[in-house]
Amino acid sequence: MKPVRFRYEAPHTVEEAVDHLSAAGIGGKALAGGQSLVPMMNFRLARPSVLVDLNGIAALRGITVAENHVELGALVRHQAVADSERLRHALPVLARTASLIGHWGIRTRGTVGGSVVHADPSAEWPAVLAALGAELELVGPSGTRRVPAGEFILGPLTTAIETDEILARIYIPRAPAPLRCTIEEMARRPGDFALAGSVAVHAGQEIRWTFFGLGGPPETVAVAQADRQDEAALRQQLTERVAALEVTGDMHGGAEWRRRVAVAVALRAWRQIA
Amino acid sequence: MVATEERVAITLAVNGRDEQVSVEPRWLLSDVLRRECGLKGVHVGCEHGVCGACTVLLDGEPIRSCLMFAVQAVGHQLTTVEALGTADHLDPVQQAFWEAHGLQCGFCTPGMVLTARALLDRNPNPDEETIRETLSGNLCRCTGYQFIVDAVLLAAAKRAEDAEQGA
Repeated sequence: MKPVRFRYEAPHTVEEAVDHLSAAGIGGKALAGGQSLVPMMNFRLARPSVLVDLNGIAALRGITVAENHVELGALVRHQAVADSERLRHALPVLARTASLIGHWGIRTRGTVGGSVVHADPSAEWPAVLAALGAELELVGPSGTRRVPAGEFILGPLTTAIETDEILARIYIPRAPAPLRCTIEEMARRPGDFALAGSVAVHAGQEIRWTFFGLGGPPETVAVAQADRQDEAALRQQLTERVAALEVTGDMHGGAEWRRRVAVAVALRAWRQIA
Repeated sequence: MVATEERVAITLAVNGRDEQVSVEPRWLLSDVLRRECGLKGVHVGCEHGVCGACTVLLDGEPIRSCLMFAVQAVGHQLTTVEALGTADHLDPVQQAFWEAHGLQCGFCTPGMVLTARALLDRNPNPDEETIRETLSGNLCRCTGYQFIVDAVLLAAAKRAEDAEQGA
């Protein structure tokens, strides 16, 4: 239950951090909030030879609410999102998302960027950012690139980031009118990993649901705006769409059970925004 | 790139004192507080962030000290249960845990007390639901949650009473 030895680097700029990661190659690892990486290191499932601590990099911090978008530094902690008055007004779904993650003592350290790059299938942020059409700014040795959040996650714990790149900032578009959007999930206890979750976005003529916690990357399905009175028809449509998703069972329940939970949380979200 | 067991000299600000310690970068904050600083009130339970027994306050906010390396704590103010009170002068939260029977074996207690203290510093008058949500990250295996919640409600009432008398 103790990590293997590693070399510790604590850079103050993104460029220095990228240099350290480039030099370290496959053995290098960036450390953000550490709420997933450090348990993996304690179990020795992760054994980086060089640990590049991003926590001293001021450029990775900060919440900016602009007219057309919200910008989060990758190092913004979940609790800071949950507590931000400005974000609660600009995009309330972000605060709600943050409050669903772990417990207080986890949210004070865990970061939005770390969660996205870790890419746990049960994580909320990858699904929310994909559902909102966010863009991720990655910085590497050859410069900066932006990747749509919906294309970033390739599979469980697998993303499009290169070993010498750092997720620096997250850009979330913001409509002039308040966006009708919410997140619902089912976990065995508050703070536990979601067994199924869904982000629902009211997009004019249709409703889009982005599912997470089903075993793979977030997946989005769209259904034409249903009659608010006719939930049975919508349930039927959602059941058909969710049946086509790749779902993995685990010790908490089989794939079929998870699909039923997914439909249930999707409907719960829909009732709030329809 | 050779992994190193070289130690680094760091200064940790713990309970209002500066502690000079020599640590390997891989040493967890929980272990350094216990072994190098002698603060055995930091209880090490699961070592992967589930149980909350190793909770300490970092700049006044609860964190898992098993999920942070000691080298990362440089420049921050750390608070462990040792700073809260003495046997003769318990912190109101500790006193309330005693009076409400908020502990049995005591293993989870430092984490519970620190989380409760941080909550009351932020929200002096929490309702029961808020207390339960806040303490949900600290596991008690003596199944003492009801008395722990009672203790935090009592502590809030005591603090309000003390504030009134002090005013």
